[in-house]
Amino acid sequence: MADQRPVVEPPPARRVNDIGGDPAGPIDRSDHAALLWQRMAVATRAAIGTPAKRLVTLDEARRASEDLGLLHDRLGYFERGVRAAANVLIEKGVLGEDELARRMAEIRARPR
Amino acid sequence: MTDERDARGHHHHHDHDHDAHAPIEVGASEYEIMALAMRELLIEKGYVTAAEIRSALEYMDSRTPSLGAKVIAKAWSDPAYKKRLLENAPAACKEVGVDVTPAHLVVVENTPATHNVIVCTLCSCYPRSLLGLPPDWYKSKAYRSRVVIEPRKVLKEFGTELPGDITLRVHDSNADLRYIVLPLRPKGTEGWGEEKLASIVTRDCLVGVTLPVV
Repeated sequence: MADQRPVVEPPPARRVNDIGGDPAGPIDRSDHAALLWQRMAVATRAAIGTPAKRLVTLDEARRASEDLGLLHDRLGYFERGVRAAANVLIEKGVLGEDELARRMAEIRARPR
Repeated sequence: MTDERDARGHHHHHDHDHDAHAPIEVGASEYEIMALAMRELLIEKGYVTAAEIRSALEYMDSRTPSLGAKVIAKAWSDPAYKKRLLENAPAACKEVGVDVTPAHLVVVENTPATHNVIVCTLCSCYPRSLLGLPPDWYKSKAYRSRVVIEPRKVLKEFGTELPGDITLRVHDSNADLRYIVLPLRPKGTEGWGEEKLASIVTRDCLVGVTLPVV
């Protein structure tokens, strides 16, 4: 006779962003206004995530951010958002990984 | 802000530059460069226009805690409005000209017996429509980790000490549902108009880490 005991699955491993309840130190309450590039990065994600475009939706950006693994904690909030949005665009074939790297190299080489 | 077009039809802003080909700062980080590269490619490929990004930026910059303060001051002044705000916050915000998008919004009301605090433990979801971008501490691991297990200690770090018999409720936001706190109208504000009331409603008291001070 087949074993009737319910299959008990181990709880899913907590993802890197799932930190509610973890011990942590004091809260740094100092305020910094977001820099222009940071605001532009948020605005770009918003402009390509509208209901009409849905190129990188809020949920896709969040999922891609959670998928960053170790990089998630090494990056700041805005840096993480940029990397996550870029990853979604690369996954969807909107941008090529090489193409993005080439453009970044071009930008670095521009006269300042 | 001054705004003009040059001979090639490009926009130039004098106080800050929204041009996709804007020069970048010396020492710009990897991710600042990545953001610019991504933006340039998206524009060149026709997925988005510089104007659409500029208008998203302007919309974002137009969201400040003064919008939240306006809604709360009206709720303090008008019991019927407060009832509508608690029942359907997006519709009540719309009444005063504030669009709440894209996530749903719930207003949690402080009472003499209950105090509310908001957090997003998983990321940094925040009622941006009413408050703008979240402050750094709201996004910090320390706040997100601790406020759900030791809210009284966390509030104390913000200078807020609540009597022990007050129930503290912590609301964990997510991408589809955001919260904002309706603080208790403080004593000593009797007869105040909405504008004066709004002046004591700060961002931090709408998150629930402080109380409005007269």
